[in-house]
Amino acid sequence: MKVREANLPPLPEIKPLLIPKIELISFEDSLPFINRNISVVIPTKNAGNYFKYLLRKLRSQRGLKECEIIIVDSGSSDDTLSVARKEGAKIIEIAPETFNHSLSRNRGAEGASGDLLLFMVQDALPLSNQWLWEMAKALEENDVVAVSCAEYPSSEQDLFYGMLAWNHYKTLNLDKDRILSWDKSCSFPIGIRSNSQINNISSLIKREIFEKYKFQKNYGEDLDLGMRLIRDGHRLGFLYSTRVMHSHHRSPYYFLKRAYVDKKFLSQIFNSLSYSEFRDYKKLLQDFFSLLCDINKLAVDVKNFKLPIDIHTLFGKIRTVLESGDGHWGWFREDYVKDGELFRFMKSLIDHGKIECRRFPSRENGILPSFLCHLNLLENYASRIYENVSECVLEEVVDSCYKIFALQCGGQLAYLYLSDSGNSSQWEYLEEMNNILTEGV
Amino acid sequence: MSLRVLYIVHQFFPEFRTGTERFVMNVASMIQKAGNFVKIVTYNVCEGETFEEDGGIFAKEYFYKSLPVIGVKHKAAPVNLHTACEDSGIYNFASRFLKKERKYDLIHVGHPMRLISFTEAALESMVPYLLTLTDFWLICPRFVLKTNSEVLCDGPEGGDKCAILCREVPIELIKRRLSTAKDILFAAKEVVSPSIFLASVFKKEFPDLKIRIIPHGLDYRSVKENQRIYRNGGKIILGYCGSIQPHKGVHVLIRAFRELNPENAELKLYGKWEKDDYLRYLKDLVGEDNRIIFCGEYEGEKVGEVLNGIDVLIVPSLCYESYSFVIHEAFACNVPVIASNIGGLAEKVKESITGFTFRVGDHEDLATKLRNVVEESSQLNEVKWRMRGFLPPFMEEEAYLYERVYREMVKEMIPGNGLSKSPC
Repeated sequence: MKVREANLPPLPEIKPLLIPKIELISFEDSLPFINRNISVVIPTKNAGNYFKYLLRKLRSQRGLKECEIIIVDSGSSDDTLSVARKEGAKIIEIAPETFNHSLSRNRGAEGASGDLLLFMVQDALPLSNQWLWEMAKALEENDVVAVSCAEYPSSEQDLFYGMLAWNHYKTLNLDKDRILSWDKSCSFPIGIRSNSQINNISSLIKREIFEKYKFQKNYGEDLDLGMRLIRDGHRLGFLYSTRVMHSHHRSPYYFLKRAYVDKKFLSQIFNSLSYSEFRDYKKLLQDFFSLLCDINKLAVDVKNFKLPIDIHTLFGKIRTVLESGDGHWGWFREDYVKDGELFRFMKSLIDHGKIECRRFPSRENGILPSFLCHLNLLENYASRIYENVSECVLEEVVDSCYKIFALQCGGQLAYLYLSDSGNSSQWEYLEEMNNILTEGV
Repeated sequence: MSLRVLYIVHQFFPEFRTGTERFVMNVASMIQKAGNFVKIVTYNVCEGETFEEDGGIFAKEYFYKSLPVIGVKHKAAPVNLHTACEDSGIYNFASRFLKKERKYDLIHVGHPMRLISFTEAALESMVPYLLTLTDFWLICPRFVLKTNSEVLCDGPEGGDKCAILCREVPIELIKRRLSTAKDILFAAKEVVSPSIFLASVFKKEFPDLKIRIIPHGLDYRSVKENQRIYRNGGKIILGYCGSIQPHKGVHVLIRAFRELNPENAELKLYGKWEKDDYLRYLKDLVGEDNRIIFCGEYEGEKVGEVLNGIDVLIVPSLCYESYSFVIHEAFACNVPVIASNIGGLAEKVKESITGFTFRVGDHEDLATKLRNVVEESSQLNEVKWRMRGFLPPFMEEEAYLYERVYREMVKEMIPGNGLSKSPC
């Protein structure tokens, strides 16, 4: 098939081009080489689409020897293992039922040859090719035994997760690069948490230190290790200017479970942490339902708001709707809640607890004040980002209301469980709920 | 601490969606997601919109997704709107705008065309600005470093080169424009280029200019890895993805493809055309050859699917590409690339590692390269394996690197209680 050149419409003939020589200048800084062997330990299970990128990013780190990558897999049924093999990772397989946040990481560390150990999670991602060099440099240049770094959002992150991360770093005074050690603030839980920050999203630790201490808890194993280290006089480093990509867009029900487990964990490790004891659990559950019904009504009402709307005006209107709510249970419908798991869990609370369908006006709702405190926090965060709100931001704000509700709910249920002596009439019911809420977190 | 960042770009979504607009949207969206306030000012060339007048400049506010945007345009556009390096109307508007709004920590210029006087207003308002180079507009009134007789140029050399190659443009105008551009570049707190090639061209003109390299990032939610394995003699689908315009060299590709005899090859052409006569020209070139298919435009988020439907991407541009998004998308999707051996393309396409290059504009050389991959397609397996080492940056990575530069600019990142880390 030859080109038919005849009868073509006229077009400026493309002449042979003069190709000038433009010398490419090297702009890449050479990093002073850090001569340490690093082993990366990553627990995995169905690690997801970005896992291959994590492994490739680890392979492309500059200024260091090529690191050893060890994955500890607890029963992946997707392509996690083949991806790991393709990228040359060492694989340790463990039975799913033996998975434990500490044991799996300890197993990975046992198989490591590096003199520095980097613990990561499967859904994190280094955001430059000198990320690990920066972590190692901070470890080398400061008298610290471990270095962790802050999270940077992924494009999937929602407003609610952004608020949680912002509040976490701000409250724990971690919004700067810091050396952490035992000091007088450690007589308070928040001081200990602030100064014990080892974060397994990405934490680099000297191997000889790790071998002495290892991870011990099945949940919060990183914080626990940090506490034991600073108690023994070691110092830790925390980098806020160097970040690793990690964030979630999770359902309200996930946050309910997470808050439940978090509150239980923190109450166990900080004996001084106070929480209110509940006597009338049925009233507590009725308050949950009333508030959830009012949030469902809010989700419908906001559709009538004229957009764009000033951010503070929006939050004022949300408060008005919730403070004047009547908790009408007619609003308890799955199509409003959107999160099917949350709906089913809440329904199971009603059914199993034999809760009377009694509505409470918002002024009698014991949960609403703490919900509004969190809503203020969300407003504080959102108003740094938005002056006016478009439709898609409005959706995120409403979505965040469900997640704040879920946090409240999970936290209060944890306290309800913890404050029960085990002899009450609802104990069997609480045990069943505990099994549901701790599964898979 | 949250930052307040104002982005300036010559055109923006939803009407315009080329590389520069994508870059600004990606960075602004991610900087917003990271907890900062952002706003975009763009020049709106569309007619029939509702604007409010402000001193000879029309302005309107709107949202693009979650991003607040101010679209501006002249009541009466100056004749040199697209080339001017100074604009008193825009300058006055920018000065009023920066006084009226809560103070911005910095301005990020994504493309200075039509809104360049925001830089002058920024300096007067004591707001530092960062300028990202995305093309040659600041040093070439023809934007593309190419003469109207299709000769590529390697830079203006103070205007002396223009006096020879582009005689139709008055030399005084070129020299004044270059002088203003130099002032704007050197007054920037930071100058960033997405590619070494683009930075090298500017360094050639302004050797003392400090330029950082931050490559553009991709939205990996759209990336889908092409996992096809090849054997010699199997069907090969060649593809073009980009605008259907003469300077993109689509006619060179069609001519080269028609030199190929095998029936096991197919050519898919994706993209929007702006000139009907060029499309007619291409269709005449195609003639009765039903192996060549015009597939039309595709939405950005479909790029993974499109690149999964082709085996080799061809980028036959006749001009320098300062940064080609599509070749990076091809790398991310594990699709080898055959590209012209110039500019940002040659910087990225490494022979037999990420693909192959051919002599720009030479359809016979391109035909040789095409024949090579069509007849011996098993070699693509090796190229695809090697390409895995070239993982293009994520849009999150680009935003993270920019945010670090922003915070250096405003000296916000104060070290805590003694943790030191060598400056990077």
